[in-house]
Amino acid sequence: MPGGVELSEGEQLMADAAELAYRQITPKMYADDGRIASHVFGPSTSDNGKPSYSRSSVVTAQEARDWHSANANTPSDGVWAVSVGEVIEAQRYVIDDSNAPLPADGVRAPGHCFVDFRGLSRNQKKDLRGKLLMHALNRGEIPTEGLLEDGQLFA
Amino acid sequence: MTDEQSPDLKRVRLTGARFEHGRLPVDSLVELQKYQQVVRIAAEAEWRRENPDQKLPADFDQSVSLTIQEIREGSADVFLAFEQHETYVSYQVEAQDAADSVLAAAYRGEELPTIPSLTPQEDFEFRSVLSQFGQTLTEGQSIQFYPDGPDSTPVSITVETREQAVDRLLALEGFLLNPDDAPSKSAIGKEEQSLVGRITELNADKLTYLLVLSDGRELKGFYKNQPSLLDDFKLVLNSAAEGPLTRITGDLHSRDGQPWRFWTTDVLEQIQFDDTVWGARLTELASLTAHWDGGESAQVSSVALEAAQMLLRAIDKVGAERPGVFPTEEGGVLIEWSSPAAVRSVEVLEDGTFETFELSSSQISGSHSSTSDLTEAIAFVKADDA
Repeated sequence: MPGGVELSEGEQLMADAAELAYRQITPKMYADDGRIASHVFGPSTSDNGKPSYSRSSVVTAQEARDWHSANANTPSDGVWAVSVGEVIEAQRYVIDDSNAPLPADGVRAPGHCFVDFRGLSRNQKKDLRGKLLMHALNRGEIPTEGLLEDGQLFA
Repeated sequence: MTDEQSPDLKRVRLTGARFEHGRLPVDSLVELQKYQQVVRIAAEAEWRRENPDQKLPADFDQSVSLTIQEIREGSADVFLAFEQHETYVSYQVEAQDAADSVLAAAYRGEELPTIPSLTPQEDFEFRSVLSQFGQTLTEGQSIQFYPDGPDSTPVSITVETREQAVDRLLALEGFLLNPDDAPSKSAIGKEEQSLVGRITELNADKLTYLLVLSDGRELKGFYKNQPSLLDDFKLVLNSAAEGPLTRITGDLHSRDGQPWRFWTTDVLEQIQFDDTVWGARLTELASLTAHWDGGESAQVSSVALEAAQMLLRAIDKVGAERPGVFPTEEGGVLIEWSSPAAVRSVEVLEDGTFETFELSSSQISGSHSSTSDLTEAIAFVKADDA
């Protein structure tokens, strides 16, 4: 798997191997009766090989989920996580881009970072997604709660 | 009235001494002209939205013309019909629905529906003309207007009921909207797309049908571009609970991001999944619209769904552990077994190709293969079960 690091303005490598990167389960079709798809951890057409995660040193899993559900196109169905060390072990890296320039009307989640899938082949993406899924399953789902519906008092 | 009357006839019954014995005074014809005028406004707006930068065809207005089919005695019980011009019938049908729904809401005290094809200026004209309906009435007279067919419950238009209805139709706030908030053409999307649901109504005269989605939403569809689909529609027509799942592909209009109507219909496919857990999940996948992930995802293709079903049957047969079944962004189906120790999957691509993959926690790179042969994909599944 290629290991070259590509950093743009405002981006920095995350180096604390123990730090977690939270990933939201979205869309909810990526969950099936308690199982989650490896595709959860990979990129989509719209993120240019930079699937969004959130730094555990900046936000809690609950804060990350709440922000996502309030701001993203589809709400989060839960939070899973991989560590920076696990990504490095898979021969890739996690990049904090919280200081990268944003378009005029752009918003970015607090503690935003991404696992770098850029430049990977289709098979390499499968490998990396599979590795991240296994680590996340080993850790288990991070306990969080969904946003309350209008008029709902308790989760 | 009137079991023998076509539900497509528009019934307008005028009551009062002036209309007894089926008399229709000439000055009352203006009421019918107003109705025709308001339908034309909506139909023309719809046509202009569909055909920007083109001149309205010379025969368009002629195609949205009312004729009096019959006047019954007792009171002036008038049955009207629109000229059926095949090229423009969908514009007339939609416009008549718009006029009927707004008129009924105004007289029933309900919130007026938005007509998304109208610009703010057209909306003003539409409501203004509609508010003039009934203006020739005097005390003791009424127009009973049947918005949902000749046997439906009528709304009663009288001097008294008109007052409040006109207030609703010409409510000031409706005309003081910020242009950005007013109904606009940009709020309507148009895309070649498929939806899965059940066909519960069919109108062979107007070339329309009603599609009920799995979440209960209802969409009207037109098949004027393919009248030969009628026989196929008849085969799948049933109640929402009992009819077969049907995938409709055509020119889908959306309103505020939600599916609204099929303006044309190109393909009708009956979908049948096994009565199993897999079948329910595949039905869920088949019912996804494009952009189901909030991004650029494609609809799951029929080819992928069919191939996935064949593979899942084989998985069932060998008694393999239940996998997760997921849609993919490209329109395929991912069938995946995962644990902290390993990931194995068969990804059915949108063209029916099977990509197999397995990776253990001790590996960096997994095993990958691709085949269009179902038996090879089944062999991959069985290999793990051995």
